[in-house]
Amino acid sequence: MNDVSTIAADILEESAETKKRSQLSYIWFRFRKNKLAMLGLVLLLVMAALSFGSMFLFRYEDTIVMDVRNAFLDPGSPGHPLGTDHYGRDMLYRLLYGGRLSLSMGFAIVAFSLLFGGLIGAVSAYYGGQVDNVLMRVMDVFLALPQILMAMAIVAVLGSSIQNLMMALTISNVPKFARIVRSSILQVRGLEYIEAAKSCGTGDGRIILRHIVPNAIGPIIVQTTLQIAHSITSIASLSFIGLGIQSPMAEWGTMLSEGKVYMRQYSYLMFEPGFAIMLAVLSFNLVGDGLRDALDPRLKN
Amino acid sequence: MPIPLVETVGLKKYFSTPGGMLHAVDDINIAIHEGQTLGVVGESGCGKSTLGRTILRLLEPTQGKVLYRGENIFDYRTGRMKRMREKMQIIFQDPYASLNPRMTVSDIIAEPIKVRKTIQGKENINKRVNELMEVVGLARRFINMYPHELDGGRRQRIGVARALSVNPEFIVCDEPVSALDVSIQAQILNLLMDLQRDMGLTYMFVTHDLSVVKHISTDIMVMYLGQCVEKSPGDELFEHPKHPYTKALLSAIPVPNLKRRGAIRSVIKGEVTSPVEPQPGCRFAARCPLVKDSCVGRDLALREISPNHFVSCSMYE
Amino acid sequence: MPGSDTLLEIKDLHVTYRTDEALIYAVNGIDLAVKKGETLGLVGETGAGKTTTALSIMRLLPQKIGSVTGGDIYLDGHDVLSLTEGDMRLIRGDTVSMIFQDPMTSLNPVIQVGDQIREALHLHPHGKTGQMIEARVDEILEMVGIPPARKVEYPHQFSGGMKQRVVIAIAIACQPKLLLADEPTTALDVTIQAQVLQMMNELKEKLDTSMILITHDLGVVAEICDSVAIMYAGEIIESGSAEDIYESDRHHPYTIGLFGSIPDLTRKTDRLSPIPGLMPDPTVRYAGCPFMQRCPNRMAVCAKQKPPVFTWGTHRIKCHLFDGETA
Repeated sequence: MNDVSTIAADILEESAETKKRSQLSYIWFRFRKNKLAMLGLVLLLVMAALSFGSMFLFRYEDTIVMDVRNAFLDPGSPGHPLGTDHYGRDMLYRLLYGGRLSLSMGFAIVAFSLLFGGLIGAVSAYYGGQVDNVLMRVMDVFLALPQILMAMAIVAVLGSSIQNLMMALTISNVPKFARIVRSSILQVRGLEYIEAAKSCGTGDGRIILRHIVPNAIGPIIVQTTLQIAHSITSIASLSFIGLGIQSPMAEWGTMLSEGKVYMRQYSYLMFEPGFAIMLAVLSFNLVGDGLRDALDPRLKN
Repeated sequence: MPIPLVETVGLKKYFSTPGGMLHAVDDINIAIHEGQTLGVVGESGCGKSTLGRTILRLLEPTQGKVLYRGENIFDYRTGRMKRMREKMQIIFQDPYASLNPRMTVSDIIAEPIKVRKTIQGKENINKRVNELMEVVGLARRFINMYPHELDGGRRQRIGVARALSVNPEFIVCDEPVSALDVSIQAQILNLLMDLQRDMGLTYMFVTHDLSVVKHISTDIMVMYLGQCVEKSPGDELFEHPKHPYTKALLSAIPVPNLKRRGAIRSVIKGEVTSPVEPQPGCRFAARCPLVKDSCVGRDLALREISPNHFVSCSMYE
Repeated sequence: MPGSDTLLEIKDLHVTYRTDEALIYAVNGIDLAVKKGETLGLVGETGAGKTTTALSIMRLLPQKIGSVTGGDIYLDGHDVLSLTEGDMRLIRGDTVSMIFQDPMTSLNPVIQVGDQIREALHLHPHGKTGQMIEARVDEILEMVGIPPARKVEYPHQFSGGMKQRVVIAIAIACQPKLLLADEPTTALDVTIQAQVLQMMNELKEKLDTSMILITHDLGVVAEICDSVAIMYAGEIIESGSAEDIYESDRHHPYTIGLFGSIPDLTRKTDRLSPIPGLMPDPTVRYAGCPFMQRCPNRMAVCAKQKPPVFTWGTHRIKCHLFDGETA
């Protein structure tokens, strides 16, 4: 039926079917090859394991009970591997507790902003026109408000608590996610394979689930990991200036703030929480960058 | 004479832009009989791609009808239109953008089958996919690969297989070989011609490359800025081109023959004018070496100057 | 050093690309020469190594990935591969200049067109005053067929064909001795291509610039080139004057295949005769001829030994078929 010229020469070779590799394993394979990304992932897993795994090693009280006789013990002292602070509280326990706070708050904030922001962005992208215009301009207003000022306003009115802090940060993140979900969807919507799907009569639902979401989700995932890093920094910053988590709760930013008075004689009081923040942010950033490279193979070469 | 498989009557597609109405397709009347190929030729901006998409109802027309076996498809409601889509398919130009990068070759080819539910059962669907891959010349080992792992020629074969999967009767080929290397172009063209012969397919072959369209077309239509300027049986167009634009198009093609070098050719001056709010009259007038006063100011009709050979030009009135 | 009218000479050039996944052998030992005022057509399909060759002449290979692993390039008396980056910058734009394929992305969208040409001139002033440079900008625009009044416009205000003329204007601003044009008309409509080719022919006469025209279109080569080199899988498998390539009876099987793939307007044929199969894997080094797998005339020796080059005057073919046949 078809002569040689229509058949690629290789069809005549032995043709064993390649095993079906799912998209996920592909992405994982590419991610694994990126050493920095793997480092970030390992750090992240270690931190998470330590912070949450240690839930059973100590109680909340251990982090706040004061024991002034043991104040300012150096790192490496017996029973206190990272030392104690000015109130005699164990630094290691406080850091681990702070890790729990930062990681879970960071996730929660981003999860909520992704939910609300994503919904707004999707609606905007799908309906277009005036709906899109209005929604995006509202988002612009929120984007224009500096995060710290907005947090201060909310806290001033509603009082400072974990919930209010999270609400303030969620609100300031929603427009970012709205923007990125909207632009991801818009980019994919105009592509020819969507037109191809329409040309065989594919319904909207299947187009969204099968064609748009798998292709648009890449940048969204990357932004999510990077936003977690950003949120951790924001929580720490707000706590540092006294607007977030209040003493005696052991949040890294709060610890930084308490330690700054003793910066000269007992620098470890600042150095330890500062290092923890840096490590957390760094690992999320590395993972985020690694995901970005792994998700779009065409970017590299 | 049996009725044509696909026919357009006064088909128009305009887009509204900030500068005014863009006349992408302006009053096109064509008829394609079963088993034949209409080549639609023109340069960028002539509206040929828009024409193809409007005929498939991927775009809603501004005016006019598209008759499939005598019935106007724009009268169909959603359900009937979806069933219609099994009969009318499209092969895209860009072998990179027209395939979903997150789906395997097998998924892509099977997708129309799954959407239209023409075949039930995973086993049967897989069998059909394998059949299709063999027909288009794709080795079985590609079946679980992703598009980015394959080259342009193979990706285009996937596009062809996908279009064939629901047993269409009519396929719009939108510049299917323009993005491919010369030797691969020839392979795909031969494939399309073989498929037409074996499966009785009808094509509308859209391209800017006159030399490509010669081999595959029964009739050819030349478009310029949304209008049809000349329409005739394939060989006739090349032997006796009538419209100045057609002649210029033919002479502009670089020929791999040294004797043509330095030969006087009518190189058209200037650039394509805007398709937004065009003036009545011949749209090629601004660049035509033979322009007269009678060319502008009033719309020119397509006249049949010899059997089946139509031209829209004041020279032939 | 060869005759004084040879402007560019490439000897046994090898270029590889090193990616995360593999080593790609892009150019595998080519010899090339271009005389003053000559236009060489470098023909081949995607992946043949033509763009890589041009980038090597300009020393513009992507830094960490591409490297010249062997051979020499002599341009106008300079040993290009051993120049410092500083010296190379003096040569780029001035002695040798390049036009890239896509005019849409070659121009900076936020800078006026006149400024982009002026920039090229300012980089190689050669004692010109501001006024002289300005006059030169106007002169060049006219040469490429753009009214000088348009020099204050931005790229998006020009159509595709006009953009490509601007790109050409920038490239010839400093009157380079060698112009590398990478598929300069592929992205253009055929009638616009005809205009641009006509213009390039006129410029060739006026400026006496040598040119290497990279293309896959044998028709374009016939229009404008004096000599031709055909590349396949990083090797030059046939080369010669335009007459050798278009009118001789002897050809490399790939060349015959290329001509057979082109739909011919003058002949009535039912089927095209394309070359079956695809280009070989560039990550593999072949002991024999890289075209062997697709060659209808392949012999046992083709798998084992690289074919030598057989010569008939200016016509050179690298194929075992001609063993025992040379003039």
